[in-house]
Amino acid sequence: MGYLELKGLRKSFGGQPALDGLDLDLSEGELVSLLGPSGCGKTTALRIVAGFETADTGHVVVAGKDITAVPANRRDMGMVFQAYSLFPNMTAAQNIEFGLRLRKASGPERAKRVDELLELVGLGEFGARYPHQMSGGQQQRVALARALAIQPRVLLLDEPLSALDAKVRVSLRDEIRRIQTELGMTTLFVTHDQEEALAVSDRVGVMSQGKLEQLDSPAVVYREPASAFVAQFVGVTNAVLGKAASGAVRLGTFTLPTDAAAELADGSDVKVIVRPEDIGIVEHKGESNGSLLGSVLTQSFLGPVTRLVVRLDGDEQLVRVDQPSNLAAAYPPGTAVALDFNASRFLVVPA
Amino acid sequence: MVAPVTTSTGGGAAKAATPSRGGGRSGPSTLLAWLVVVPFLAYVGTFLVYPTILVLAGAFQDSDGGFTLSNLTDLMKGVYLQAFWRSIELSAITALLGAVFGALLSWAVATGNPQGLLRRVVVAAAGVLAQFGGVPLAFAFLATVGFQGFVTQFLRDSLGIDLFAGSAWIFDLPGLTLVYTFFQIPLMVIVFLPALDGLRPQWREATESLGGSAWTYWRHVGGPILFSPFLGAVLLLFANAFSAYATAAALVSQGSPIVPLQIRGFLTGEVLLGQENLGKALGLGMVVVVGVAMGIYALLQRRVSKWQ
Amino acid sequence: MAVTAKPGRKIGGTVLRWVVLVVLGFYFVLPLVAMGEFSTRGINNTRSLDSWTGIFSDPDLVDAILTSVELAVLSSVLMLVLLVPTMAWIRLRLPKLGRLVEFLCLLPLTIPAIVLVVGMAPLYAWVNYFLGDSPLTLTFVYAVLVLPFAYRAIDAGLASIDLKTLAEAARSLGASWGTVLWRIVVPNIRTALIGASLLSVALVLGEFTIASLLNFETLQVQVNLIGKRNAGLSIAVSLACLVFAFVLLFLLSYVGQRRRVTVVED
Repeated sequence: MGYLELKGLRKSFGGQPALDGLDLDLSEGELVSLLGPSGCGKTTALRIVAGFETADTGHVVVAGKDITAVPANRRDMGMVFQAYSLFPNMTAAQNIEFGLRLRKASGPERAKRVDELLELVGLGEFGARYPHQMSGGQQQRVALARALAIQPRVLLLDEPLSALDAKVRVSLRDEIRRIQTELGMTTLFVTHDQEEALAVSDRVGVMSQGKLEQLDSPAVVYREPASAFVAQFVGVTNAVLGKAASGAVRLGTFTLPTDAAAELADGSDVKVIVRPEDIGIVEHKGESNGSLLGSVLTQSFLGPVTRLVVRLDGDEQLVRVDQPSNLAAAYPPGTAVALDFNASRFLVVPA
Repeated sequence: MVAPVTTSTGGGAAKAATPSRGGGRSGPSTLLAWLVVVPFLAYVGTFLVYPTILVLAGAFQDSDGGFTLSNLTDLMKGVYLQAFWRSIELSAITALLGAVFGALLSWAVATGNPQGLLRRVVVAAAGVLAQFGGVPLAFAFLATVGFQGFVTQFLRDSLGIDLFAGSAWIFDLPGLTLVYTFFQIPLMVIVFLPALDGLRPQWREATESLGGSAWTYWRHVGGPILFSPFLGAVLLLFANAFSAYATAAALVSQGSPIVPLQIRGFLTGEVLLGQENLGKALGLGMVVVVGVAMGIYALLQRRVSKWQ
Repeated sequence: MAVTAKPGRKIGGTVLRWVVLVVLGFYFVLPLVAMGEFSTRGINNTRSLDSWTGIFSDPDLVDAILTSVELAVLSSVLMLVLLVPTMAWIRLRLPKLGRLVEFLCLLPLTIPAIVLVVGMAPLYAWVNYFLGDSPLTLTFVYAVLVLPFAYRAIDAGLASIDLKTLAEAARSLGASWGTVLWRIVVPNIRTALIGASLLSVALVLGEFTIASLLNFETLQVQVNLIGKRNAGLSIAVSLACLVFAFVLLFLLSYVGQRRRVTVVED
């Protein structure tokens, strides 16, 4: 049994379903991300846990206690918002202290706690600053410290990095993960940025249209996406159009040796979902020999790998192929190539 | 007419613009660049700055144009001093009434749908009454509680109450106070609504998740944040009432209880010999009072803009 | 906004909200009702529309209305001609002057109209000497009077577009400064210009102080004069003015919104 449990949460706004039966269990000390495009219901789920929204049906349970009916201000949830949530009329220290004041902590105790927390988020010198005197990243650190000050039972992060610059975003997300691990804080993290979710989470829940599409470790979600939606939302992927042919898939004159289309009618349109790094490439000379042929259109250097865009012969579909950068030089634009799909690493879905 | 000063976006953008534009240094092009602005400056110089200086300088001149302080010392006594006090009293009372009720109305509107009909209607109506009311407001007032007014008749005929048992109060300070609330409350809505909109829902939610109640929120967060805008709005309303002329002029045709009506007296010829410039001294006095109020208001605005 | 988990508090707030709306709504609607009632009084407790039809049969009033409408149009045009090129130019080439122009434009807020008119009186002796004493000469003062409102509307419009980049793009394609102004600046801040013009129109139609003290017979001056002999007629016109200004501002709230929507879609 989990420490934080979301059971059968449903919620609709004016007839539009935002959550369509969400179940989720977090063990104590675990960081789980909810990942999905805007409108998928992830923020609604978080706000229901926080107590800002009430679910139409379903329950929220913390440490075995049903808190569905408990008002937000008695839930002991630490919440970090997207941005601008610091009280502008209070200094960083006063912001952090606020929750402790409400809990009637003594003056010296509060001061000690504030110092510890400022230290924890790396802002030891910034206690006397007002929010408008701090950068966005610093503000979010203070917001994190404020949420942690009340020693919450669960930490809720609502896209806390999305308003920040790319560089700050990366360093702060690592910082959040470090602090969360250090404190063993059970954390629910909502984001639309797949890279962020994969980087910091113990488990990632990919959501679409109010439902969990897949919930698993980052590696599994990336390597073995449960659906075309997951594959396309997480990481870069190709969707190559083809036709089902007695269980296998035909791409132009090439037949992809698989039985993944076994349940689809012959001749029906299918998509082959495959990641650029899972496609092999060789230079092709001479006659067509039944392999998937095309020619290199462009190369873009991405550091360790170089991405080739290959135009397939025949139907002229574009396919992205990643090659280690030191090998990619062998395929300048115009090179005729044959592509090889690594059999274990693709997904066939109806188009 | 007084209205809210937004913080200077113009100045901010001006700072951001790079000074290294092509031709920025070369002589003729700079000169030409300045020429474009000349018509505006000349116009504003003629029709705004010049008449203003005429008033301000005239306050220090006697009827022959010589320097004197007697106009100003005259302001400090008798009917003029009384008029100033009455003006200040009227402006202060209506500013406070307007601020309190206007803030309540703003709150009632701000908690509704921002695109809703209620808000549109209230904001448009507030704009009309706050900025363009003038003479029509005086007539609205007469139609309501004038001698033959709707409410006056109703009270007299149905309840036997005579609104004018005491005196013709509607043509004096009490009447002016009442009618001024009809543009002060709306002006407060226009000024204060943006401040209320500036309260982010996150602040309330953060308060809640930290364990606070609605009262905690207003006591520690919402209240302190709104304090400066509220104070600024009171000053603005004060300046607005202090400068207002049209409504009072249409309502009060005899006597000059407040400064703007005193000035009317000087312009329409009720001038004693040798006091031609006393009207300008009254004008100077008004500019000083309004200027101080607006100056503090601008300072408060700058502080407010930091928080949003 | 946020759904609170404490129903009691939410209901308390809602009740207070409606009390405020109903009480203040009554306070502000009552005079309008009173004006409607007063302006439809006939002889011996009958109802009559004489006051309303009288609006169009009183030649002085009709003249005054026409004068005010002409003034409103002229003042708006003069305001646009003065402000738009100057403000655009200052953003593009003379940012140092930004503060000065802002100060000048907002100055009428600290100089009450009643004070301005004291200084205007001698100036208008000259204006009338050179241009005759048509009430349309009020255009000159009114263009000054509307400056603060127009300035803010136009400034907001200019701030919402990347004027410098647009102008540089147009210049690099060979446009003259005139073309930049007319083909780039004006169309892009169209809504702001409409807003500034509507505000100016409403302000001029409602202006009383300066017209009355410079002895020009504009709409508001006439309304005030007529009030001395025929209160019903004045009240009818006053109500019409308020309603007209309301409709103007109400429409303005939709003009502003359309722009916001396009911004979001971008």
